[in-house]
Amino acid sequence: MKIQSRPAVGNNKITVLDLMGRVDAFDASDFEKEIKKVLEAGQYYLILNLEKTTYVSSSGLSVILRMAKEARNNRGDLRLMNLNLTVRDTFEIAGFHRIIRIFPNEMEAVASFQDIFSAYDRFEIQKF
Amino acid sequence: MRDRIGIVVPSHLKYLHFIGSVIEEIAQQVGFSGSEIDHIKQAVDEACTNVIKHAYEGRNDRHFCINCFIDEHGLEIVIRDRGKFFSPPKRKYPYMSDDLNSRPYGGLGIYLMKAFMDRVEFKRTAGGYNEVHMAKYLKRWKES
Repeated sequence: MKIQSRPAVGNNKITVLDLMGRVDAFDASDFEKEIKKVLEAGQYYLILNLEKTTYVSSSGLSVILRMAKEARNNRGDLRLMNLNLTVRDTFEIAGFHRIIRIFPNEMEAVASFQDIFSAYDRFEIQKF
Repeated sequence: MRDRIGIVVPSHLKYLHFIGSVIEEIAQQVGFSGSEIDHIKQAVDEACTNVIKHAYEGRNDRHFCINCFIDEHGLEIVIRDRGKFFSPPKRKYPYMSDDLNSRPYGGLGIYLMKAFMDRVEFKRTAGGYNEVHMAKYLKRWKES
């Protein structure tokens, strides 16, 4: 398993995490460590890119669940993109598609954050 | 005629990938298709993870056996260990909830095993072994 973070194309407020390889129970602790680093750096607008992810076990799903809860608790969100059929199947059977938004590509995933940014802007104007 | 293929594996998570490759070969041999093979591999991966993390409590100096029984109906996989007794919870899993915060972190592995296989049973043998029995049947046999 390898994970790399980068700013999203078209919006550098959003961080994309490119996850490559398989995430079974052996890899899940490294995956979690990398995610913690991103969250501790205060990055809560997150997209997990699963284009090159071949397998996610329940241990990997638990890490993703933690990451999504942490992001939302800090007024951000975690969204997913580019799931292959095998990984999508696992996410759907685990019911994750009902709690975490899934997009077919980066452009749509980035655009979807507009709802959060608009709500945040309204909040800031009200404060002012 | 029922063929048996068995392997003995050290209780270390680093072998999960290897186990997946063996199970993929066997499932292909039996005649399962792409997504069915993925489901069998994931169910076995989850069961072996439970053995290492829960029955052996993360100890890496133990072993467990995976026996695959092949016949015209499909594949039965029996995973046997000598660790702590594991009793799956009887409660209904709440994972289908639409509320992110109400979802617990644990228990998903067993839920996936049950979703991916046609039959999953947990047993404690008289000799003090834990056994997980999982079966997947070929479509042509299920439909006949």
